[in-house]
Amino acid sequence: MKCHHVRTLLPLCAGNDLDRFRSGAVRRHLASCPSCRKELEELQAARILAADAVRTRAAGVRDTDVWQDVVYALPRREMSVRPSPVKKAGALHRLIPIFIGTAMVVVALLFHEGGQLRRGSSPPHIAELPVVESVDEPGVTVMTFQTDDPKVTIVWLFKDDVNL
Amino acid sequence: MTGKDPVDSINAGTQERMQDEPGLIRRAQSGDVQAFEMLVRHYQPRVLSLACSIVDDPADARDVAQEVFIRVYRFLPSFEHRKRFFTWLYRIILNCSYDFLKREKRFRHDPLDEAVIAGEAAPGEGRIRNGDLSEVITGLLGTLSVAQKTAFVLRDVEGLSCKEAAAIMDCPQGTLRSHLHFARRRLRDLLKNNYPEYLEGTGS
Repeated sequence: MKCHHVRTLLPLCAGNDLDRFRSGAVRRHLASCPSCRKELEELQAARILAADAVRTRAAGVRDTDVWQDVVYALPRREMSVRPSPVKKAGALHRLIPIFIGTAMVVVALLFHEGGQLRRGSSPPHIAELPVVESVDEPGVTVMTFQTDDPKVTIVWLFKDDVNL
Repeated sequence: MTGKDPVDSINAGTQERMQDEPGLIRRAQSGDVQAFEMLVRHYQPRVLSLACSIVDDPADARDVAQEVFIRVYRFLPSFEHRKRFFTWLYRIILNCSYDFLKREKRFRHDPLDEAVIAGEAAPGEGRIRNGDLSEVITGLLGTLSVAQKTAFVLRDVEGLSCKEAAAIMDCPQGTLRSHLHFARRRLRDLLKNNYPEYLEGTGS
């Protein structure tokens, strides 16, 4: 292997990320090439230095407890995804007054219709004293009764005091 | 560096409670808030650490972590148990971190790397010249693209395997290795050109 070819593989070699065949070829070259060996050492040093620095920076935040932040945010998210059973019961409760109101209107209508029916089926009542009239025919008397319904007038005819 | 499971590095007390992680996840999926709290308390150090590595600020990392766990809670019912939970969680962390960076207009797409390969100065490096090592490195990492930085953090900081890191980044392993290649090379070039004292004793 030539140096320029080996150097393209060194960044991966620095982290043991080469397959066994290439790794073996690179190691054989490094054994006889101080320049490439130096470059590999620099790559390994930079890699370890950077990884340690990132770990050190992140170590300061690892002990943070985020559970309280999370649990505070969970219910609000949850409600938008799944309505809770309590929320369903609340919706049912809100419908009860509507049911009661509807039932009251229906009952009132039934009473109203019933009253109308009762009034329609009752006979007219006699409102005034009868008016007695005589007609030309002898022995015949006419009695007229005015009811509370202006369209209804009761007329009785008598002949010789016998109701005709 | 070998790839290690994040679950391996948790403290003993939490590990004891977390041995039945699938059962805990199932309980949390069915709405058990106590089980979800245990998941949060178990994973919050890693969530905060990774978020801080990506967004570069502890206070911002706390906001991102909060958003991560809220998303976990919302989407936990759709989590499939044939997948590894931490891989799924890490993807959510990355998505939340990227969303945060986009909101803050700090999201950097892949830049051209010819200038770095040629050893030219990178943009923004002057502002970190007098900082301490942690700030210097943070500033250098800030010159990487988000994909390069994520690959570096997952593989070299978090210690995940290439396969796991590629799965989390939702890309082929070859693409991940390409990001790693440019990230490591860029960091070495920037340190060598601007802060050679940090590489002293390594043969330079």
